[in-house]
Amino acid sequence: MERRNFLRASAGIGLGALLGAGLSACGTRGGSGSASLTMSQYGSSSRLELLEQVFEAYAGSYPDRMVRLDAASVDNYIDRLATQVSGGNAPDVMGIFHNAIAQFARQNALLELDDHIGQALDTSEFTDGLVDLGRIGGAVSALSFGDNAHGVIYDVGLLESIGKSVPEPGYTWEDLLSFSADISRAVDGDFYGTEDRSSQLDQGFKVWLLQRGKYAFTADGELGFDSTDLTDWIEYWEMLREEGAAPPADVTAEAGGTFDSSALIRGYAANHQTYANAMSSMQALTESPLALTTLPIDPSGTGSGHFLRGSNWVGVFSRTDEPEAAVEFLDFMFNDPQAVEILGAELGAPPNRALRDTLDYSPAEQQFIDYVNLITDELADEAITLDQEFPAAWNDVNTAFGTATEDVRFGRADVSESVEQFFTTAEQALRAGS
Amino acid sequence: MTSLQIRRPPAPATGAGGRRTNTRSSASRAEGRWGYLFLTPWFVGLVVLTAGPMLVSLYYSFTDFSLLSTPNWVGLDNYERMFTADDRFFAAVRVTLTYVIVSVPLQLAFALGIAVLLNRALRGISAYRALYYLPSLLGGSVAVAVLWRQVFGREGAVNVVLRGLGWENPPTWIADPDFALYTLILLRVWEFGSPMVIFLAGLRQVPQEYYEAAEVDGASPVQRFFRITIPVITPVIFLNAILQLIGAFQAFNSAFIISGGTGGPLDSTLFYTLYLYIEGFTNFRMGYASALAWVLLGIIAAFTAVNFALSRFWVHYEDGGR
Repeated sequence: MERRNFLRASAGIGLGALLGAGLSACGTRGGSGSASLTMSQYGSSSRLELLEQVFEAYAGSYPDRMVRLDAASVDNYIDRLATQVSGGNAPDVMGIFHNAIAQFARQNALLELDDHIGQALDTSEFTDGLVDLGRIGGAVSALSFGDNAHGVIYDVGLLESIGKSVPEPGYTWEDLLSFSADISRAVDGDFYGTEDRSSQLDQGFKVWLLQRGKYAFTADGELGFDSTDLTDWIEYWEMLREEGAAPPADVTAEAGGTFDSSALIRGYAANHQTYANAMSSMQALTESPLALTTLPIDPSGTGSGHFLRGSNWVGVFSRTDEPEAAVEFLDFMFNDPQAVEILGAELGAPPNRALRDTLDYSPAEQQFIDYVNLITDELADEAITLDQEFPAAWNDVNTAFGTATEDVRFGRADVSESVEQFFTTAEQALRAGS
Repeated sequence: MTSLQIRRPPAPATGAGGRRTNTRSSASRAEGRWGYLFLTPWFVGLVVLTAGPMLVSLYYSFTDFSLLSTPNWVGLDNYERMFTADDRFFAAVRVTLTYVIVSVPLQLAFALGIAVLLNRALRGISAYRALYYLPSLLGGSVAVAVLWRQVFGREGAVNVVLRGLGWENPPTWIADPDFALYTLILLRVWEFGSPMVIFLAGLRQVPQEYYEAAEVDGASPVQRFFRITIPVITPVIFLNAILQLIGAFQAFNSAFIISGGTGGPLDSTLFYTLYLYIEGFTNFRMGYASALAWVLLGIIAAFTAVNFALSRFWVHYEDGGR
């Protein structure tokens, strides 16, 4: 105590900058003690601005704490972060894509949070099961900033212009086909009733599979589906293209991965199948009102196929000098009413359910929140961990999946050939590990 | 020409006339020391920033380095995987070789053509030269690749023109596996500025007497071009070929931007360097990516060596020597 008083006093006479570092290295518990943290995050400038506001609020509540933002563009975010980890100078707190968390955690780059949960980190108000999604090798390695789910965003303006309305949850894959073909016909091919996202392993295919009671990967890290499942999937989309319900291959290939290059925003398709939290970002890109609905269901299936997903994830660098402070800061972002209010639905539906319902949202955000509540509280099938979702060979399997579906789309291979090629490549990659 | 005169070092100011030779050699030794001293920054740069990382990457190519964890020695595994179990490696080699073999000659021919047009005494010719050089400054940039995406997109300028000409449903050039690579080749050809400038310098070195003599003999302009211009500038063509070859093998930006970093559609724009980047920074196989880099070095070295070997048969040096 005396030592600390001495240090506080000396800080007052200008030695603070030097000694502050020494003090924080000692580490303190229970939310006291100074610390300087860095948090990295990707995303739009408005998102980063909100985070800065949270940092300010944090510094306001804990005057001897500060957090600095380390922003980077989405395109090179993960390789930049991996390089920082490699050099041992990664940010204390890191926003991470869901498909990279397992990779980072398996290489021991992320602090295991289990011991902090229930202590400095309160997750008691979180949606059931949300914390468990972030388990890699049994340990909670990252937390999701919010609940999320698969969904389909429709351009209501486009639909209304031809007297259609957004399909209600519960519509079938069969319905999607006829509904989309109708739209394409009604506009004489100006745009298509649905976009074709059949090449994305982490999108609708997972919902399609779960309606058959399957996951993309088993708990043992093998493929969780067989050639029949994939054949049915590819043939289903082939049918949509043949009926003119979905665009031809080159139109689909031109759409990029970003919201503004999506077929919906570029005006080639009436919908965008994506993670539901895209809703407000997408709405910001168009004047036309958007609406969110579920993916179709399989009437002979076992469930909705939708499941609780994390949105934007955050973890703590395993070699941080400030593990306690970093965890306390996480707790602040997740549970402090002020912080939660600032962030709103920017990073996902606020995980703290008690606070989620108290906030004011924009209309687009409100749709997203309502949608996520509908999925998590009523429709969700059982979710699996990121560990199972993203095995070490994930990138290779994902690439092979894209190739198999694209080969058919471009007419380079018939369905059975490309399905066989997929299983050969994917199984080889999974056996090899990463 | 003036530079020739100032290049000679000033005579040393010290020493008596009788010991001239002696002073001179010690002075030149001192000059050598100064020379090395001035070279130091460059030398340190070479060792620390170039040679060091290269050696480290050679080491990594024999490891399973993942960027996130410490590397383990795996011997030749990476190289073995490359040549026996990696279809995408071969796809990348195929794409890159096509790109190099098609784009380099086209670009050189185009650059030479423009250089010939610009090699005359017109009013404002230097403005034209600068203008034509511009694409090279911009060509490798992100902005132009983005622009290319638009121009060759489904609703891009090219297709607007083609539709105007009556082609109802032209392909989406950048998103069609049959054409995507050729849009990148076109982009490369469009960056003809730096070989053009070198050609222009070469053309201005061709002695006018040759043309005058040929004209007297009744040679047509075409004959003069192929019988005089081309043979005389073969060393310049050779230099340009080597430079552009190496540059084309290392092309990255355009494919990265236009394919959104995937090398798609269907790996049709999977440049070697792009694949290397994907393996290293997306799949975190830094050891494998290092091995890929060394194989690329080997490929470029082989192509350059072949070019040098072949140059004996077609490159003529004015002084008659090699």
